[in-house]
Amino acid sequence: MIFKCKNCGGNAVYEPSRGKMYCPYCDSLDSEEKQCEQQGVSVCVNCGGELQIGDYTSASQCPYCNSYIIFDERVQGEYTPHLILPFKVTKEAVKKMLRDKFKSSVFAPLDFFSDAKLDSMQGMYVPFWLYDYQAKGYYDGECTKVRTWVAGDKQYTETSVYHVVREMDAAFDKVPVDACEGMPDSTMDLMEPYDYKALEAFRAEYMSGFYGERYNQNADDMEHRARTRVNQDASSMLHSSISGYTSKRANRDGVELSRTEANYALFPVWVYNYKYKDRDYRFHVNGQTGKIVGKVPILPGKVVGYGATVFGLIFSIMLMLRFLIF
Amino acid sequence: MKQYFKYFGIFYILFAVLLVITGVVWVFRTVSWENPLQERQNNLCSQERVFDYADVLTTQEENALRKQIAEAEKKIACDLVLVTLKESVLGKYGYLENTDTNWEKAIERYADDFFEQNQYGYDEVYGDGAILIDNWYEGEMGSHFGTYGAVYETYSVGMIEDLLDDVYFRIDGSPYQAYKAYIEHVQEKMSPSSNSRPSISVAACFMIGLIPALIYIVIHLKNKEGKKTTNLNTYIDNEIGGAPRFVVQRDDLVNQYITSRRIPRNSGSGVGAGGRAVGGRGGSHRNSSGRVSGGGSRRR
Repeated sequence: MIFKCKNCGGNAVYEPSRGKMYCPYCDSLDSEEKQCEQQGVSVCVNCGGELQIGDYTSASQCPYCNSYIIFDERVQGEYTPHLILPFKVTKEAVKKMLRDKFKSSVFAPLDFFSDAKLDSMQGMYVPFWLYDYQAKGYYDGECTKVRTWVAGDKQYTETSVYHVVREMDAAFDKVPVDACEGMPDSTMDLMEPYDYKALEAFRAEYMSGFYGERYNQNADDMEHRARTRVNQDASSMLHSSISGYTSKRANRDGVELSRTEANYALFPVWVYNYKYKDRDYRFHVNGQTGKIVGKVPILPGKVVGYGATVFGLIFSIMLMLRFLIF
Repeated sequence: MKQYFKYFGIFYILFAVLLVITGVVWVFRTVSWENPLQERQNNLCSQERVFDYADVLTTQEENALRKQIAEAEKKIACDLVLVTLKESVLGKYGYLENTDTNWEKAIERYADDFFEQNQYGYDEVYGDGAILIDNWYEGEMGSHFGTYGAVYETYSVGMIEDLLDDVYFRIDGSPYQAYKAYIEHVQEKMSPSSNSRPSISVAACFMIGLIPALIYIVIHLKNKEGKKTTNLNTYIDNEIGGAPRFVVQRDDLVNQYITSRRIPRNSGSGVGAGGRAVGGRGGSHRNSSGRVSGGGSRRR
C-alpha cells in the first residue's frame, strides 16, 4: 500500500513532530488516502520499478520514485502488529542530539557528524514481542545476624538465628524482546525503556515515511530471553527484601513464571550507519525517547597522540615544580 | 591543529606561565649564588684548603681544587678542606692494633684535630665546614669525611655513605676526580636550592606524568555503547502499584546465643620511643676538646 495526498497525489508520510500525516509536496496535513493494494513485494505500487526487498521487510522506499511503500502481506493476517509506538523524534532532532552528545569527542573522524553522512540515517520500525508474566517468588530459609563488641579483655559475639519466609507476587507487563535478527539483542536491550503510554493499536499510516520489518521469529522462539530476564529480576526483588543478614541458607528459593500474554508490536528506531576504514559503525536512536546507543569510531593514533601530550605536559610541569618547590 | 590547541589550551597556558616563573627563579638563584650567602665571620682560620701531603696531585690539580673550593665556599658559606696523608694515624694516636675500629677512631680524631687546629669554620672557629682526610699509608689506606656546624646538621649517615662512595669509586682511577666529587657533593647538598627541601626524583616526575597519560588513553580507547536505563521495576505492572506485592514476609527469631573469647594481648616491645630517623647529624661524636661533629670513614 501507499499513502497518497488527496490534494496533489504526492506520497504522504507520517510526520513525528506534528503527530499527523503530512504531504511534503503540497504541505497538506491529514490529506492521505490509502491506495493500490500492493501485490507481492517485487514491484513498486507507485511507479512499477523493480524492488530488491529482504525476506522480512514490511515497509521500504522505492529507489526510483522515492515513495514509501508498505507491503500489505507483511502487515496483515498473522503479521498484523497488535501495537505500534509511532515515531516521536524527527531525523533533524536526532542529528542535533548526536552532535550534542558527541561534540566533545575529539577522537571521532571529522565527517562523522556531517550532514551528508547523517542524512543517510533511516527510521525503521523494529518488530518486538511484548510478554506479560505473572511471577510468584518464594523463599524459606535460615538467616543469621552476627553482632560483636568488646568489654574489658573479652570479645563477645551475639548470633541471632531467624526463620525467614517470603512469598511474592509480581506482574510483569510488556517485557520487550526484539524479533529482528538484523538487530543486535544487546543493543536493542540498551534502547529501553520505551514509554508505553504512547502505545497504540496498529495503523499502517504510521509506517509511511519509514522502513520496517515484520517479526523474524515467533513469540515462542523468542520467549527464553524474556523468561530469563523476568526470572532474574523477580529473584533480585525477592532477595532484596531479605536484607541485613550476615548469612543466608535457603531451604526453598525460586521463582515460578506463567506467561499471560504476548503481543506483537513495532517500535521506532533511527539507524545511522557509518563506514570508517572498512568497518561499519552502527548507531541506534530510540525513535520515541531519543536515547542514543552506539560506539563512536575512534582514531587510535589521535588518542595516543593526545595521551603523549598529556604525558609531556604533566612531566614538564612536574620538572618545573621540582625545580621551584622541591 | 586548531582543535588540538583548543583542547589543550589551558594546559599550554599553565605550562607557559610555569616556564616563565621557572626562568625567573633560575635567573634569581643564579645571581644569588654568585654572591655569598653571608659574609665570612671567621678570619682566624688558615687560608689554605688543600694539603697534599701524600703528593698524589699535580700542582695544576691542586690549584684547580683550590679554585673549585673557593667558589663553592662562596655559594654554600662553609669551609671545605682536603688533606691527603701518607703516614700512620694509628701510630700517631698510640693505637697498637690495626683494627677497623681503631683505624676509624684514629682517622676521625686526626680530621677533628686538623679542622680544629687550623681554626676552620665559615661562621666561627670550628663552625660550618667539612674535611676530607685521605690516607695513602700502606695498611691504613682510606678516607674520612668530617662534618662540622651546618654540614653536620645537614649530612645524614646515608648522605655520608653516598659521598664516600663517590670518592671510593674514583680514587683508584684519579684522586683528583675523587676529591673533585667530594667538593661537588658537599656543594650540591649544602646549596640553598637543595638544603632543607624534600626531594622528588626525575623518575617520580616521569611516573606522575606517565600514569595519568595511560589512564587517559585507556579511558578514551574504551568505547561504551550505552548505559542501561531500566531497573527491576521498569516492567512491573503499574496497575498493582509498580512494585511486587509480598503476600508473606516473616522474619521470626528462633535462636540467639552469645559467645566470648579472651583477646590476646601483645606482649612484644611494640612501638617504642623513636630515634632520629632522617635529617643530618650522621656519625655524631665528640672530639677531644668536647665539641660535637659528625662524619664517616671508608677503608681501602
